[in-house]
Amino acid sequence: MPYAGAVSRLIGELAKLPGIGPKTAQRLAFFLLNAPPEVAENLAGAIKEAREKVRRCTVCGNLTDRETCAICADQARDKGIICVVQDPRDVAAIEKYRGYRGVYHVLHGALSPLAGVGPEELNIKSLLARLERGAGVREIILATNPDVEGDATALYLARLLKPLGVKVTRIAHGLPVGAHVEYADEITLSKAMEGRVEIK
Amino acid sequence: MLLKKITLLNFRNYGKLEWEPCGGMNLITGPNAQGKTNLLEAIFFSGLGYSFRRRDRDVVRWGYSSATIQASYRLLHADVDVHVDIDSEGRKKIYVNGVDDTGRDMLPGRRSGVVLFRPDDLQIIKGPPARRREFIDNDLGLVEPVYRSSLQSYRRVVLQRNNLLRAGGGPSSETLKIWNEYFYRCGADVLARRIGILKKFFPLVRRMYDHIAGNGEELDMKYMSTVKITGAHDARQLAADFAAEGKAREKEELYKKQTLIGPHRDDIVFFLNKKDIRYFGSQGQIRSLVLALKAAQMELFRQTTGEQPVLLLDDVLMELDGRRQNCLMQLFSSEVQSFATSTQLTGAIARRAGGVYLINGGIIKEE
Repeated sequence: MPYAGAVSRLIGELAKLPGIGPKTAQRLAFFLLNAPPEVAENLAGAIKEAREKVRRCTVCGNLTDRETCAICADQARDKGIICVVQDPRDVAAIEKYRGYRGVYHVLHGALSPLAGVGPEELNIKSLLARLERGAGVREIILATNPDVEGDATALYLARLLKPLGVKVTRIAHGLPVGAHVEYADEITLSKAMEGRVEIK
Repeated sequence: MLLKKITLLNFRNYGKLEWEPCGGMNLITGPNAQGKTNLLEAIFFSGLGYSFRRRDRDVVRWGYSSATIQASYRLLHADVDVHVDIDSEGRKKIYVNGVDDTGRDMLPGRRSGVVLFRPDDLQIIKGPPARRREFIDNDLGLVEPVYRSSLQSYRRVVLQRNNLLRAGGGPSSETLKIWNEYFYRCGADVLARRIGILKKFFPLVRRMYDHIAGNGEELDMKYMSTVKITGAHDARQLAADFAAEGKAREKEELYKKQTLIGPHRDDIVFFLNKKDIRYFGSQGQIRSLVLALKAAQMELFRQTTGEQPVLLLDDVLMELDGRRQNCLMQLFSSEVQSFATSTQLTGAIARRAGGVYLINGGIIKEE
């Protein structure tokens, strides 16, 4: 690269980020070099601080900057219902709708022999520990993605948790709310039909 | 389904082509290497969203960065406009009635079928089992939209499971147990759907063959499953059969480090007068059987969707004798829109054709 050492190193580091190619990395690097010094300093500071402070919640595995995350620490949340998700981003997505008052458990992935991920690589042991602690867990909601890896993970957890006498449920798959039946694809419709519920 | 108009831009050897075919049989003639098959390829692409040749990106004209196909279809209850852009990297953008169709399930051919018949199709009978599975999965599978997605999941599960078997079942046998359970479930689902399709398809093939051969030869077909199927073909029973077979073969699978049972290893065998046609059939018998398969495929679409599929015949007319040519004409009658390529114009066919077109150097002319 025809740039001074420090510049090309900066470009190289930026290009390692997901979704950033060499061209974009170059653009970002020059933006940072041309902007007032505090822009770059603030960014560097924010990255450093996040890296140092953010860790996994000791209870649920969600990302937090404290010992336990805000959701686990919240006294108003129902600790009897645990929603199991693959990723901290899934927590954020479910939190957005504000209707869920239980707590979470983040697996940080899904079973995938292809990617070398088995049960040991997932945050499952601490889930079992939560159940054993006898916190009166009544229900585990499995909210892994509805693809092959997510389904296999849900199946694995169901087989593991059911013998412990806890109610295990899987989130429904089917039509998105607000969508029209006529525009839904066949696969979604067939899932929606399989998962139909009686109106009470 | 009727192709009303097709426009090509930098597709194979076509710089620009605009063509309004007729509703019945379109006979496309011309010397070799002038673009006859390319035109069929474009029709197939606009109907199903991929090329029947090797790679999608090869359709872009030499020296150009992208190719475009625009096609207007009339279906039973709707008019459908398809717009396809393919760039030289093989990236495709497909719009159906102006809407981005990333799922490829709004394409007219997905709903009503595009049936392609070319000389290479003799391999469906003579070739390896994979060729027959391809025929079921890609061609017949279209009549049941859920089949494709259930097959996709199944393939992914097999891929994951093979990885696990390669690692010797993984560090804990628990993991393999879960993947096994999921594999049996997905496999049984694919198997049940596949058998369901074939149950409708086999009688049609038999009927078509009787009509084509016309000599009372007894045709029989058998689905050879790697799973021993007991009793009724309902999903639950199949899942149990699948699991039983899986348990019996697990040791061997761990030893060979791959999945040995399931629909991705099954086959169909055709028997003529109780003899396996692959080994004992004549060229003529095999040709008649392929013709019967295609005719039955058309009929299967007609029965399930109520639509007439579009028929593409690439260079197969001349290989059939007069009697079979006549059968073909009857079977595919005037309600079916068909496109046939041929280097020569022979009497019987030319007389039946609704339109005869001459292609020369990427330019089309009505004769």
